[in-house]
Amino acid sequence: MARGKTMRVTAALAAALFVSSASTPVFAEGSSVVRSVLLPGLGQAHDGHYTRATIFASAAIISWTGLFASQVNYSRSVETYENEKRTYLFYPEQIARGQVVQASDIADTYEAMEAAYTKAEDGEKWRNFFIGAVVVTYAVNIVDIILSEPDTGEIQPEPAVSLEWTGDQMRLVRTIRF
Amino acid sequence: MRVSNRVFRTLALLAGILITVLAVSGCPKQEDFPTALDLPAPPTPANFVITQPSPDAFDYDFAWDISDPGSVDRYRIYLLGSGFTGDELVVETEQTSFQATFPFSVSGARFAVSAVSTESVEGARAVADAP
Repeated sequence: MARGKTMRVTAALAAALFVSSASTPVFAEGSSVVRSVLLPGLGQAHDGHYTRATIFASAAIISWTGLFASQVNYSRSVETYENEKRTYLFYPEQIARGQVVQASDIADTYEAMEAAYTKAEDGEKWRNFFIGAVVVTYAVNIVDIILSEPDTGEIQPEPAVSLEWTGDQMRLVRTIRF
Repeated sequence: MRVSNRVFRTLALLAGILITVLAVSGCPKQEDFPTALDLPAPPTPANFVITQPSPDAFDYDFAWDISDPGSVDRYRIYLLGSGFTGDELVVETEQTSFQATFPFSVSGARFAVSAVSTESVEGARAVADAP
């Protein structure tokens, strides 16, 4: 129940963010940032920084794929653990109902539950690692897009005024191109 | 209403973090590992032997020893199946011996005996072949 509510809130927030960013004047003002929030590297590509765009996009894709895979694996491990735990904790109730319980079944269930718990803990570590990777990728990406200037493709003109040394004299030269 | 670029960028960053936190916190987690149940297994019967007093009758005597009789409530004797047929509970008894008369010869059949504790936990089996 709580998970469904959280998912709905998350979806609503994501939709609100997307709609607000696409329909307000802010979109035009911060288009590179919006693109980078949607997918790291997109804003950099929009600004003409293709190397950084490739690096951020690759990092984001790897992080999201890893997060998805580790989350699926983790959820399965948690489900297995919960099933084994439910079976294990049901033994006293079986005995209370007058049934005889095999000691080997209790031991096997405990081992299976322990193994599933260890696997779930490992799965959680990997899931958290990829969460960290996603967060770091997004944070660095957004900081980068905020600090960087768009690449307009213009070549910086040489300064029109320069200094030249001739022996022990200094000459100020002003260049005029036609 | 126009929002300044800096405010928008901050809001976008916060929204991204919030979405990630909400999405992750909505996933199931493994709860605390439960403490082990206090259901000790009873001792395994030892010296389990099956004898046939008279070769002309289908009478068999089952006998075994137990190291801690106080923890045992009763014993179970099984006729073990051979893969296709499962194990069959022959009898439950509170003694460490049992006499049975079968309507047919069980010579060569495999039997097992196990102890059931006072907490209704059945322990490991001891196995013997009928003569």
